[in-house]
Amino acid sequence: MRRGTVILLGTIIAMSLAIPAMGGGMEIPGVGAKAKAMGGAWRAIANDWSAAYYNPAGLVYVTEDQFTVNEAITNFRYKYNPNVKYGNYTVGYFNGEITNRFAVLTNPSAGGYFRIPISGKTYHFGLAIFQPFDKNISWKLFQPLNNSQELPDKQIEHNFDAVAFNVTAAIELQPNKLSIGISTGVLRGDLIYGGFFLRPNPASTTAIYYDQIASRPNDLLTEWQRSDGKGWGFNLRAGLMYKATPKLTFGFSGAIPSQVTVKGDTYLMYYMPDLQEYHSRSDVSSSISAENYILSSGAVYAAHAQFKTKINLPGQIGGGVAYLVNDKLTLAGDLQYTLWSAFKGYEFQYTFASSAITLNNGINQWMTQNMSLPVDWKNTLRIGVGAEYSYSDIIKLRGGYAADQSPVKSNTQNPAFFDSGLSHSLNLGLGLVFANSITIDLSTEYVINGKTTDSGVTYLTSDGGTDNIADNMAGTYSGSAWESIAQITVRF
Amino acid sequence: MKSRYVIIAAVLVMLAGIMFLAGCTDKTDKNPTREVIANTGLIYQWSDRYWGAFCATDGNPGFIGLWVYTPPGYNSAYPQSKRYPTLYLLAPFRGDERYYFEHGLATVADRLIAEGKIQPMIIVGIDGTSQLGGSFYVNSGRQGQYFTSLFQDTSMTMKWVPWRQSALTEHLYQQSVVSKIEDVFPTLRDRNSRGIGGVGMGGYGAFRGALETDLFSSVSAVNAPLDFDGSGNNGFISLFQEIFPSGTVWSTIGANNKTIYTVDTSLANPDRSLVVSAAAAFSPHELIIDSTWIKDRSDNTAVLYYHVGDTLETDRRGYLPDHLVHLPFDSTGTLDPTVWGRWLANSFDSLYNNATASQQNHFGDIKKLLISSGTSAEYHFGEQMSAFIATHRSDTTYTIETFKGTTQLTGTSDHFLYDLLEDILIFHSKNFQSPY
Repeated sequence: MRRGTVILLGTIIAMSLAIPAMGGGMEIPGVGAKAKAMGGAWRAIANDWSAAYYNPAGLVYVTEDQFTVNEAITNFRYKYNPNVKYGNYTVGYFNGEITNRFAVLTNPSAGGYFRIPISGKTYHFGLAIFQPFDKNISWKLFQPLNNSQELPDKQIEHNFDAVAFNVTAAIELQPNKLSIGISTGVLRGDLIYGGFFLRPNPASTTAIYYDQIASRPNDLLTEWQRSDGKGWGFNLRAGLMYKATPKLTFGFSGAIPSQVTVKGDTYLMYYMPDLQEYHSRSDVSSSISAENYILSSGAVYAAHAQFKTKINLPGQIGGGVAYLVNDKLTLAGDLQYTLWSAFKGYEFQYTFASSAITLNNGINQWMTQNMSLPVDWKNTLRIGVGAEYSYSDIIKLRGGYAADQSPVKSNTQNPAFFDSGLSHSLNLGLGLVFANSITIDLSTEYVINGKTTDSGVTYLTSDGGTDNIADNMAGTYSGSAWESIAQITVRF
Repeated sequence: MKSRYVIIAAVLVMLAGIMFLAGCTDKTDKNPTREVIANTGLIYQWSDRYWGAFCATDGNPGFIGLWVYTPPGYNSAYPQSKRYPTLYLLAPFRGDERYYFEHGLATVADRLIAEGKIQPMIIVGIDGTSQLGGSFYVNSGRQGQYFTSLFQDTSMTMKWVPWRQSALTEHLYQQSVVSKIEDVFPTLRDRNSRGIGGVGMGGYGAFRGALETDLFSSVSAVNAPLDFDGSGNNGFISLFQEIFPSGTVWSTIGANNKTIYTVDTSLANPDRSLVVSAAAAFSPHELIIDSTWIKDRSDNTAVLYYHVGDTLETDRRGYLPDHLVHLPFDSTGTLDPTVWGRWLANSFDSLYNNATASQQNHFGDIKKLLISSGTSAEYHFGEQMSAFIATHRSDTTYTIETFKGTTQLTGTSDHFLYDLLEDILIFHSKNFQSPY
């Protein structure tokens, strides 16, 4: 039990964030340095702690109790060249190619494995903390045309982490032939979303001086908000592994959709167009309504609120194959289908204190409206192939390739959910064994994201389509990413 | 052997690290930004009295207001070694010298200069208002000598007829707006360094100024009334039918056994006041008031008579002799061919056809920009623009652009002028040629 205690404590201590998303949607296509080095083609192998993610049934083929700690370092280099126009008109996006805010992200994860004999049968258990979903990106790409005050530096900030705290159990139904497994646990979601919305000017079209205060560039008002919250959900994965022959193994696994309800605090800022010179005209100052005066004051109003949003995370299903060519070389392949159409973005429901905004009835109503960031995603396929070569007893070399579809439909791209098309990743890895009980696995991955160009202004109907707020940002999207992972496994 | 494996492993690890580090650099310093422009131009708010623009009510000369934008780098305190091209922007109907500035002209100019998209230039916003709403920038016995005031240095004799007093005569020299600007500001005094443009009524004035003077090398117009009958039966005709149906809007008052129609043309009815302003410009009733009240005027050159004491709405006899205009239709809405013919003579293509050979030649050299929003343009000017564009589409000296509204904002030039100013300034800047 000492080993189990060590494993349990180590898993709890290790921080939850695993390798960030490198491909479709917000999903982690690979958890674990060995799996990552083989392009994620691990479903039919899964013989380490990462079986909790890839295929719980693989846990039966872990040979020794062990504890693993992963550390991933990632740098995203995404590029966005805005071409946002309403009609023929620009609205304040910067001209030229913009790279996302520089950040070197570190994500540790951990897991352990131990066996327990019960009634003459050996049950295989694992504890794991890993991150099945993650997004971490921020941008600065906009300046309101009608207000000289700048938005906060992280104009768009999207940091979503879904961390699974899972218990995995597996059993052999037929020795060395057929095994099944299940991994389940809580899902902790942390969301920070900061972003701006361009909202139609609420000035009444019949109000005097409407033409003057609501003409371009004052027909759209900028609202910026930053929401920070957390919540819990549940996740469940199950798998099956079938060794057709001593050399050929098939693996099948899937995960059910999850939902995380996130609650927290929101800070909002409203940037009013600056028409103060216009106000100074005597005919205007005596005739303009209080509401329209506010809407052309050039002021920036701030408010706080509580927010709630439900995040629907997709289920997935996949199959893999592994072939032991000889005692040195293993080849593997994997195909996964993810139901990203279930993810609908974020619908922020605000609760304002009664004293939050006290400007004017009409303005109050406008400012306290719920905001949404909807997406219209499609289901995706991911394919991975990999190989492992045992150079010697203490050195293993690994390589892989993966292609991952983007769930984003055309003309719905948004830098907050950056995914610019079919991505290709090249993976290399190395495993080193020390003293027969410690293994260090390293992997590095280079991902090239597809280049895509969106145009037009899209109003998605998933948020009712009635708020007249554009849900996409047209322009050209492309990018790449680097990641390196170091994993240490201690076997008992 | 083991040491060899270790060396190989170390090399591989180093390679992996190098691969990672090679990609791990901050490239955001190359990101574009649209920071607040550090260098901003200056605006001179200037209203001067131009004797030519008579408002013909109280007999006092009117004035044309000007706002002048000077680019970053201009400093009025020091002698200017640098001179700038000049763009004159004529305001639309009901617009004054502030019009373009209220739609962001200075902001747009500052940004375009900072981005290197236009050359630094002086921009003059010109008042287009008149007692009846808008001057159309023409010489009119009813509204004043606006065209002369803008473009032609002139001298004139003015006869004053104060109420119940003897007539007074004054001889005046008046400098045009263009001359005045070039005296006060460091402008490039060359045709190739002057442009003129306008929105709506201002576009008409710009085209007319470009044709009938030799001052400009580029002209632009947004939703301008350049083809009065449009495709033959619309344009102004559509406007007449819309706003002057027969019946209740008319009332009659009699004076001297004459029936004079009057109609509410206050600025609460902009369409009507535009038509009356246009009538004052194109078909004024040439009555001159002197001590005998009414006198038909046979010449229209240098002598203008005014009656002091009348107001716009009424006088002690209850009619408006100073503002009589001929409308091109009667109370049943039927076009009056004689009066309508006077309007059509002022339509731009008629003006061109009747211009001198010299005027036609230099107008042919001028670069022209037309911007139209089609049916959503105000006052049915889109119909006029569409017809004019159709006539001139094959002329390579024309650049033609169209725009439309959004779901939230109808596509009038007023609503989108902030964006259109970018196109206008870039167009004129490209056509300015430095004489140095």
